[in-house]
Amino acid sequence: MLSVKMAIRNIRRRKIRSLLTIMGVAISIAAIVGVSAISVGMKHDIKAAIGGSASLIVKSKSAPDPISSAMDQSIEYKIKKLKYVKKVVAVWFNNRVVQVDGVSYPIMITAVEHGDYDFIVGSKVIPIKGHLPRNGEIAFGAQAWRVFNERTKLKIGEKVNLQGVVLKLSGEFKTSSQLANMCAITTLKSVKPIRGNTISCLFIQTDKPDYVKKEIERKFKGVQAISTSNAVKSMLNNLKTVELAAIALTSIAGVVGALGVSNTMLMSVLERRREIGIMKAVGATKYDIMKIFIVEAIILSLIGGVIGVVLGSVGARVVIYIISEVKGTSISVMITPSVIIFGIATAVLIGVISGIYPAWKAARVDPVKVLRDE
Amino acid sequence: MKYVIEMKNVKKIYRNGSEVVALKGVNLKVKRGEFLMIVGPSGSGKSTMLHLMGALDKPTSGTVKIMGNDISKMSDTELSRIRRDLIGFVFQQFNLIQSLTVLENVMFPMALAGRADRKKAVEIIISCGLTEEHINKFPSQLSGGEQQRAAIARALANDPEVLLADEPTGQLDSKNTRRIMELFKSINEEGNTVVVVTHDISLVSWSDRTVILQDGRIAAEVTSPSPSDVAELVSG
Repeated sequence: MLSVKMAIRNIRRRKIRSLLTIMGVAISIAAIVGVSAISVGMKHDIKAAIGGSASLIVKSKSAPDPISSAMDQSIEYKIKKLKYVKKVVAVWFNNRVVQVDGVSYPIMITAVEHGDYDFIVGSKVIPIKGHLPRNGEIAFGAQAWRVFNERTKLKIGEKVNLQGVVLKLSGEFKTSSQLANMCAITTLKSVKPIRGNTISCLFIQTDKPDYVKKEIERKFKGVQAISTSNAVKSMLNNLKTVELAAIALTSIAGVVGALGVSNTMLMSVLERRREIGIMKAVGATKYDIMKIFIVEAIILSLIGGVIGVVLGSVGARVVIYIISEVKGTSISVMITPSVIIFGIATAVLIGVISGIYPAWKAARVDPVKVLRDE
Repeated sequence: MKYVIEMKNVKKIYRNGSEVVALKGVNLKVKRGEFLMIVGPSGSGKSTMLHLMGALDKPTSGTVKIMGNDISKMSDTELSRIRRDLIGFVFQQFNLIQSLTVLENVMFPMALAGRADRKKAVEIIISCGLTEEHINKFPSQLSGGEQQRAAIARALANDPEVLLADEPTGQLDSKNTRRIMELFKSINEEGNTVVVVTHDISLVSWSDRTVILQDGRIAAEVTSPSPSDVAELVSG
């Protein structure tokens, strides 16, 4: 307890120096937290893009991906009857020029049954204006809404022309998947005049994806079942390289922060040689002295870490917002508890590592030499 | 145990570029409950002797035993424990830890020993002549005399076997010098062993025994000394 008190008072006594050191740590932690939040967000987007909560996706064998695939909906009812299949959701994807109030814009339409919006996105679909579309209605994701709204004032209830069918705008929605936020969603029935009996793919939930995949591919010719976990895995593997490079670059920031703390602590040890000598004279062991200085380094870094987590969270959002403004596409920034814990833990690690050498120097101060200088 | 500290043929040489022989074979035994004073001109080896008695340093040759423990055979950590549990140090410059309050300074050695006791710390502070209003002040907010009282309280924190003071009145005026010596006397009368190093011969009458150190050797020893006795021996 006394060592914590001493540390806090010593940090406060040298305000400017402490502040500069803390900011050094804060900036490095901000970089680390920012990159982690974006990387977690990207992983989330990939998982959502590949099948939401589904464990298998069934598409036509000839199509390169589920979005460009086309199948007859009759397969849905047959697959529903298979063993171990818990849930089957038919999805129709279509890239279509949509017209509102004379303004045209190409947009990805995703059609499912009314209750299945959350399932295909893999997270909660939240209406922020109006409600989620029922039959005869359509809703825009937040990004899509913004793009239209820049050109024409959108109103709930107004006509949306899909070139083949006209639907009512039911509202605007938001999800944690930036990809979904760029889409429009509607029900399968609403787009029946365009699609007839065609669907793009089926999202399947099962506890035994390997068995069900084999069964489907054995029973139905011309279709392919993709395990989403495998697809996600291979995508995430590609992302790993990028992630590792990002971690390597941000660790440079961490090293810079650690050097700052180390430098400050070394100066502190030099200035407090006398105090260290006295502490030893009254009975402090080498380990007691080391503890006092490492605690101080950890507290300095921890304050920097907390500021860094806040700075990094805000910073990452701002950076991604600017990119989405410029480029029109966006990715998620996710400040999860694990991102925060990672940031704080890195700060503590910086404190320990940068405190060891100064603490060791402090522990070696010879009390006799210091006292003889009186 | 009759003797708190035993020094036998102690030599101490500092090698720091040139060789300085600080002690040239000192024999001294400090009895339990004794008030001992070590006087001598500067450079006579007084502080070196005190540092050895306080387990801050090891002799170059000879033996120093503190409560029977031969310090030359001990590791740094063991020496720290001896200082923490058996020794109380008081310095000329008071040497309180500036970032801690009076109470925290007194509790610091207690905390090192793993027995921080606020109530006991306050009792010791009060017994050293400070008041309740001093305990939460920082050293820089106190006068020299008050700081020295706080430093003595810190030295007493872990009930040491011996209190070692290096020129404890060197920074104080005559009024505060008297008060601090009275405090040492009362601490001694409660049964504590006190060793004071000073170059101020006028203080020797406070002691039971005074040792005169000259040029790294014990030149003379006087029991129940008066300043004039000692002055004679020093000049002679």
